[in-house]
Amino acid sequence: MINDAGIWAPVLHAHLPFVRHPEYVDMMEERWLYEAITETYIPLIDVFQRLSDENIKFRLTLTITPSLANMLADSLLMGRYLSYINRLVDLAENEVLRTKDLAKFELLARIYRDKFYKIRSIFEKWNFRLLNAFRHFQDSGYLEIITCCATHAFLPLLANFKEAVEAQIKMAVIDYEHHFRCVPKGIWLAECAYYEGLDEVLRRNGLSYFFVDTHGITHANPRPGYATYAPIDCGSGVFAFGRDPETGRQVWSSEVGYPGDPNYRDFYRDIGFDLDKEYIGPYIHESGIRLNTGIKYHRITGKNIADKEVYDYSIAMQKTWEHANHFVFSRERQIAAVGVNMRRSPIIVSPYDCELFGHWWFEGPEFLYNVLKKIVLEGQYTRLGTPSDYLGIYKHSEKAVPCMSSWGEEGYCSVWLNEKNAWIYPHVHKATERMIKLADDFFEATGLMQRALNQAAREVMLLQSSDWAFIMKTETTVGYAKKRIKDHVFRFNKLYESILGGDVNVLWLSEVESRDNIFPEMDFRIFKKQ
Amino acid sequence: MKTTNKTASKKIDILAEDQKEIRRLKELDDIELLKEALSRLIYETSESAMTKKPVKAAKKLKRTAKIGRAVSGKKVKISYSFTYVPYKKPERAETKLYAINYITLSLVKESELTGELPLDYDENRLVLQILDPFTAHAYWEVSLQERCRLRLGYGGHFVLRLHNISDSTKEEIWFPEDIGNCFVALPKPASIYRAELGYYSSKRYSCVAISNSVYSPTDKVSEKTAEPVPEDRDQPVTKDSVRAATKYTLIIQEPDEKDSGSENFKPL
Repeated sequence: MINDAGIWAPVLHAHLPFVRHPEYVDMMEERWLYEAITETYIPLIDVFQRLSDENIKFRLTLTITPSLANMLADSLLMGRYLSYINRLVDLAENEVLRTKDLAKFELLARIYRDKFYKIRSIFEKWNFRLLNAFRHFQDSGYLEIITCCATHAFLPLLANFKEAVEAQIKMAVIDYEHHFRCVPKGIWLAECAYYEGLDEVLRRNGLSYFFVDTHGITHANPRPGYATYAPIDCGSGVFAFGRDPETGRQVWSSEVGYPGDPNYRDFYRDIGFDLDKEYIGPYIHESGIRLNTGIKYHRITGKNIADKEVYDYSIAMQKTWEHANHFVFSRERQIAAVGVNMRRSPIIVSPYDCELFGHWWFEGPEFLYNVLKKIVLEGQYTRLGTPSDYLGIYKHSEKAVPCMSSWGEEGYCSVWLNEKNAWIYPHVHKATERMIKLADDFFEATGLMQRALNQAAREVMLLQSSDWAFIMKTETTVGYAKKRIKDHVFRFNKLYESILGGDVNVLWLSEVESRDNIFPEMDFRIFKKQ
Repeated sequence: MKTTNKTASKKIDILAEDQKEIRRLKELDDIELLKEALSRLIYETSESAMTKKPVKAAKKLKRTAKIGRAVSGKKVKISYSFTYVPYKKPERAETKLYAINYITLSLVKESELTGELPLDYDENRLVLQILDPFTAHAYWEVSLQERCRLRLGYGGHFVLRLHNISDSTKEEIWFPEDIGNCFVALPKPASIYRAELGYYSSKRYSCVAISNSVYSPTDKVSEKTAEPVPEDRDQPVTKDSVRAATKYTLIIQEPDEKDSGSENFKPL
C-alpha cells in the first residue's frame, strides 16, 4: 500500500528554571525570563496571531513547563518585566538618535524600536499575562499545549524514588489544569529522558503520549517496524513518539543548520558590550557588569567578534523565506519517500527548544511563520498536526518498550551526571527520601504544619530541577546553580527538623513561602508512599 | 485653606485606617496573617501599577511597610520605584504604562535563609545510578558508628563489589575512602546490576551497605521485531483519505454567531 501524505508535527519546548528573587533589586538570572519573553515568547505569539489573522489553520505542539508557567503568572515578575521592556524602549529611542548619521545602523535602530514597541503593546494586549495568549490559541484550535515534569526533573536519576517521580508528574498535571483549565493530553519528559516503566506513571496520571529521542525508538524492544515514523504503544496504552533526526539537524546544527547562515544576525555582538559605559550604564546591570541588551547590529560573519559585518534585516528576512522553502521541500520529499514503505501515513516529529526561535536564532519566528504558512497553503504531501491528531487517526500502534534514553549529549545521562555535578545527588536523594517519609508520617497534618509540609515539598521539587546540574556541566552560571542547591537543601532541612520537632517558625516560613512561591496549589500528600 | 483641610482630614482617615488594620492584625494574634496580608497588598500593588495607577500603588506600598513594621516589630523594608515610558509614536501618544521596578521585603535575616550543605548524613548508604549502557555511578557514605566498628585506619580498605544479577558474575573495585563516589565501567549492557560496599581488614570481609539494583540500557537494535498492527486496525489510505482524516482534526470551524468568543475548535 502506498501512502502519499503524512504529518509534520513541530514541537516547541518552552522552559526556564524557576528564578524569582524579590530580595534583590536587579537579579541577573531573572533576565533569562525577560530576554526569553522579549525575543521568543511574544514574537511567537505575534506569529500565531498573524497566521490566525490570515486564516492559516496551523497546528503546533507547545510545551510550557510548570516552572515557566508559574513565572509567567507571577505578578512581581511580570511587573518587573514591564519595567524591563520600558527600559528597552527607552534605549531603542536613544539608539535612533545616536545613529542618525550612520545610515545602516539607523535603519536597524528604527527596526528595534518598532519591535520593542510592538512587544510592549502585545504584552499589554494580553493584560500582562502571556499564558492568556497561549491559552487563547489552544482554545482556538491552533496549539496543543502539553505539560512537563513539575520542576523539569531528570527522571532517570530519580528512578529510585517512585513517589518522587509520581509527584513530579502529578504536580505537572495539577498545575496545567490550574493554568490552562483543561487536562493535558501529553507530556514532554524533561530532557526527553525516559526509563523503562515511566509510561505506567504517565498512564496513572491520564497522559496519553510522550517523546523520546531517536534511539529510544530504534533501540526499543522489540524493534518497531516504522522507526520514528510512527509512535509505539509502550504496552501501558501510552504512546511514545520518536524524534526525527533529519529535521533536527536542519534546524539545530550550528554548522549545517539554517541558523548558522552568515546573513543571519549574530547573537554575541551586542551594544551592551560595545558602547561607552556612560551611555549604556542605565541599561546594563546596576553593578556595572556589562550584559546583552538585545540590540545587536552585526551578522554572523567570521569567528572574530570585531570583524563582523553590519546586519541587513531585509536580506535576512529573504533568507528565512528561502530556508522555509527548502525545509518544506525536504519534508515533502521525506514523506513521499517514507510513505512508500508504510501501510499508514508517517508522522515526522520535530522537537526544538522554543528559545532557539528568536533568542538564539533572531529570525527563527519568521522562519517558523513561513514554514507553517507554506505547508498549510501549498503542502502537497505534508500536513501539520500534533501527536493527538495522529492518535485520533491511528488508535493502534506496534507494541514495544522504548529504550532508556535522553536527548542530551551521548544520548543518556552523562550531561546531568558527571564529575562536575555528581556531588549534588546525595543531597537531592536524601531530601527526596525525607520528603516521602514526611508525607507518610504527617499525612493528616493541618494548619501551620500543613503549610510547612507544602513548603518542604516545594523546596525539594526546586532542588530536583535538572537545570542546576546542566549549568554545572556547561559551566555557565555555576555559582548561581550551586547557591540554588545550597539554599533549597538548607531550607528543606530546616523545615524537616522543624516539622519533626513540632516547632515551625511562622515568620521564617512566611518568608520562604513568599520567595519560593512556585505551585500555590501544592499539596505535599502527592509524595505519599504507594 | 480648604485644600489643606481636605488633605489633613484625608491623612487622619488613612492613619485611622492604618491603626485599625494594625489593631486587627494584632488582635488576631496570628502573625502568619501578616505576611499573607503584606503579600496580598504587594500583588495588588503590582497589578495596579501595571494598570496605570502608580500613585495609588506607591501609597499602598508605603502603608504596607508601615503596617508590617508596626505589627511584627521587625524591619520590613519595601523598596520600590516606578518607571514611566510614554509611547512617543503619535498614534499611541495617549497610552501610558507604568511598571513596578522592584520590591524587597524581608521578615528574617538573609543568613537565616541559606547555609552550607551537610557534610554527611551519618548513615550507611550506597546508591547506584545508570549513566549509559556501559557506565554506572555509585556514591556511598559510612556512618560514624560503623567506622568505629570497622576500626578504620588499621590497614584495611573499602571495596565495591559489582554484581551482574543477569548472569551472576561479580567484580571488585578497591577504594581508600569511607565517603565518596565513583564511575563504574559496566561489563555488559542490558543487564541488571547491584553493588555492595564492603571492608577488608586482616583478610576479613564485612559488608557495609548494599545498593539498589539498576538496569543498564541496551546499546543496539533488538533482534526481535514488533508484531505489526493487524491490517484491519490499520487504515490503508490514499492521499485524499489522509487529507480528509487529517482535516478531521485540523479544521477550525467558523465561530457560531451566537458565540461571542473566538474561533472554537470542533471536529467535523
